[in-house]
Amino acid sequence: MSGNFQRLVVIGNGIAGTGVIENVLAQNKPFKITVFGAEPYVGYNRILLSDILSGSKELRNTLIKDGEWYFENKIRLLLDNKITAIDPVLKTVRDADGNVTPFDKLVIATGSNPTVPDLPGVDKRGIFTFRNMMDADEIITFSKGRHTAAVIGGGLLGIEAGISLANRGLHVTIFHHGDRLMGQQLDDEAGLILKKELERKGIGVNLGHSAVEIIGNGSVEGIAFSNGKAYQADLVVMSTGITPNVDLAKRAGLLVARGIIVNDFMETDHPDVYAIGECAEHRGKTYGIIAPIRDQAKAAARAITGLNDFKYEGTVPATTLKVAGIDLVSIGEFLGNSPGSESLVYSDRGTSKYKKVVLQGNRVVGAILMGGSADHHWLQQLVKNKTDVTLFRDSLLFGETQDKGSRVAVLNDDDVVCGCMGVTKKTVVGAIQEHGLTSREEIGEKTKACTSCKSCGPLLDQMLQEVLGGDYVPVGEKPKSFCACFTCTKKELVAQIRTYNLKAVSEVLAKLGNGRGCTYCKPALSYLLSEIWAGNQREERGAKFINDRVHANIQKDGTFSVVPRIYGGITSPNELRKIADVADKFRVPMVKITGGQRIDLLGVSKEKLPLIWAELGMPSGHAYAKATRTVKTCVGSTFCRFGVQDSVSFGIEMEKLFEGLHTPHKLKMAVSGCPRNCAESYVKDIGIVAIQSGWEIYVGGAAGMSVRKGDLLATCKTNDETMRIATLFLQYYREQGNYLERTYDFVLRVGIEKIKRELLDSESEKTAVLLEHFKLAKLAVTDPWKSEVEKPFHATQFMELAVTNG
Amino acid sequence: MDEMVNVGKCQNIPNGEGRKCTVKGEEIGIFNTGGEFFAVANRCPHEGGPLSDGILLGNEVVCPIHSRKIDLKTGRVAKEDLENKTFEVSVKNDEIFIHP
Repeated sequence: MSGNFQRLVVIGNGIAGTGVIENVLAQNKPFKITVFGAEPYVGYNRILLSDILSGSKELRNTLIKDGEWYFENKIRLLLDNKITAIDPVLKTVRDADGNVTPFDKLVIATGSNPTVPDLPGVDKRGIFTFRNMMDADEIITFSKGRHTAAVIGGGLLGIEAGISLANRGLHVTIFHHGDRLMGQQLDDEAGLILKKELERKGIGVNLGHSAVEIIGNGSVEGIAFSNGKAYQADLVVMSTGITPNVDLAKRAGLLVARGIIVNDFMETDHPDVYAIGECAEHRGKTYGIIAPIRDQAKAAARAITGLNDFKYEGTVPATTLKVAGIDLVSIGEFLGNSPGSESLVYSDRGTSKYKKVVLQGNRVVGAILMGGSADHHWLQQLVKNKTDVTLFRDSLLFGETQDKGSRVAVLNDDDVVCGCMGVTKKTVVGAIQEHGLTSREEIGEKTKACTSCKSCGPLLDQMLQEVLGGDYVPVGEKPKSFCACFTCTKKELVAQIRTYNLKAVSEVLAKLGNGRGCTYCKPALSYLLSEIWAGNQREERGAKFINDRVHANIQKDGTFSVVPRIYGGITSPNELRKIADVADKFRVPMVKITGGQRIDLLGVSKEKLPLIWAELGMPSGHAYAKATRTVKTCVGSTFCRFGVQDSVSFGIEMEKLFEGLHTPHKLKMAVSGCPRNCAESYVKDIGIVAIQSGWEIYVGGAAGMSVRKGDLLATCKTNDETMRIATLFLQYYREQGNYLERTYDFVLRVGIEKIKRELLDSESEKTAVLLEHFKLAKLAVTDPWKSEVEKPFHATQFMELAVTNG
Repeated sequence: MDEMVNVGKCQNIPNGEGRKCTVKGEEIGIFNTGGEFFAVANRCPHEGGPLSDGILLGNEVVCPIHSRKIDLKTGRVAKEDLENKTFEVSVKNDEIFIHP
């Protein structure tokens, strides 16, 4: 310790070293940081070296951080300054200038060095490695005026170098000692397809070629191979592998195998000395890829600052190669040749598409994707999470999009959707929104997308669907009419009902429909009119299903069931006594506890309904209606030792707020006091789940004929916010849902992303209007049982007609 | 069989609805299809649903239990080889009479 500060020294200024520093800075702990970089550049992203070589990027486009960042964060950056010795006991490092710098914590992030085979003539002019900025600069300079380049090594880096050189206009041949390209990432078939793709780009590939000698007089002129062949070359890039750069660590006496041995906190065998990135060896593995660095840097930083709360536990190797049209991903155990493993393979050499998923038992352990990498992240998650894929094994090769329906969601805003015209997703989505476009053709007029080869047509359709939600009409389909009794759509119908001020179902049918109606549209219109006129419609009971005429659920024998409202499933001895007394008095044949945490009195004749309601004195539970049902709750923080929020109070409040509102189809709700989800919120139409910091709102869940987990609509901090968004969803569904369309169909039809856009912008006028509509609807609510008891809608509604002289 | 049974005033059955009554132990459904009245045996020939609780579509009633459609004039059940008993109905001085 020096004063109040700890001194952190980082050797290596690449992605790994910078990553540790970023993680340490994020914790705002008092550290004085010094970084040593061997190269004379502020840290750059080594992965982009091939872009430098091909000329598509310049150094300044590849910097990880600029000079200002070091200045602002008070980091001492010493460039072109190689560390020559570490003393882990005295805790100092010595640099090339002989200066000694003390440390409290040391991070070694020295990366790796290219391996250069010891060939005769390898020291001739024109032989390069390709590992750093200097290499790239030298190759570029040397290549000027030269025509033929050879790359020795057909691994990932060799191929990238080869493509970059070809982009510079050189005639390139890749020589590989093995019998397939990228042996670390590809199997034979994929290697073959890649070879063909490279050849199509004019890059020669010679497999089974081991170089034995570099030929030339001073400068390189050619290469001789062990198979007796020799080829001419003006320039040679050696890309025959990398070796972790461990010299310093070895000399300092640290434990080193292939890399510097570290534990899960990236600690070496010396206290306060850490190693990360390509120079580190963790659980017997060294990595030559960028993927592990994020977690390694986090683990190291949190150990350095004393938190020690994050372990690095290894990385499933995953490589992506994206160079000029070749899209390639390799994950985990891609070969599929270990005992018990099985491979699912799709191969199309004609279009260079290859897909392979390797299974071990019911789990995905590896994959290769070529010519389309959309499922890259999904497959990687399956491997990482060891997901049991038994249920969708047969669709694994078709990808996640097969399940979720949309490829659009995985695209970034800047991704090009129309390759011919170079139009991005952002441009298309923006045009659809701004101009209200509804077809491919209209998108083409505004953006030029899909006006050439038209292969992006289906993708544009998906984007239309995503943006327009329920208003989207597929190509070749006419907008659906309300039902067979009408020629107009629901939207048009609503507009005309307002225009003509139609207040009763019979009026709508007579004026706009076929006059007769059907069992769908009569109840649907009843609902629609109540929704449009919020209580000011003219009720025609005959247009409603019997349940809604008599506020009870008809049973197979023509009797009815009575379910009084029990808010949140919380009852009391008095309430239970009252129900028991009623059941006794009216000799109710069956008393049943329902799935919705209430009590059902079954087998009641229609004539007795008003008498029972009067005796009960409880509000209607609406168990018979297309309406908001009960709110199921768990005891939450009131009693449960795991509960994190008061689910009972919230559930009761929600049930009272939504009570009595009719909906396109029944609407079930639940509030769970913690993610254990005892109230089954994930499978409700509106399900609220408590989390430590507030509530999550799920919508479109189902556990009936369909089983579906709801989509997360929002995560809210306060009760008010949660109630507001749940209310918005309810009202949005009341207005936009089709009659008899449950929320799980509604959410899929409209799309959760569109619903989020419509409801989550608290400033938008749309949400204010929805809330206003909700208020009006709520004002019109009366308890149907109470109303019928006090003043029957029709004198004989519940009665049998009296017969005289019969 | 000229006997007629008075089942009450027309306004007891609102337009577009049905009501039931029991005549000599037989349950009968009476329907108002818009000023015109019909009567059929109240239990659906399919599985006994109470037809007087059904939705009316023109001169058909839809059973509330399994949605069988019964023609109120002929008693025929749509798409089934089933038939329901029908009764003659007459209206006099705003009173409905059934001829059982």
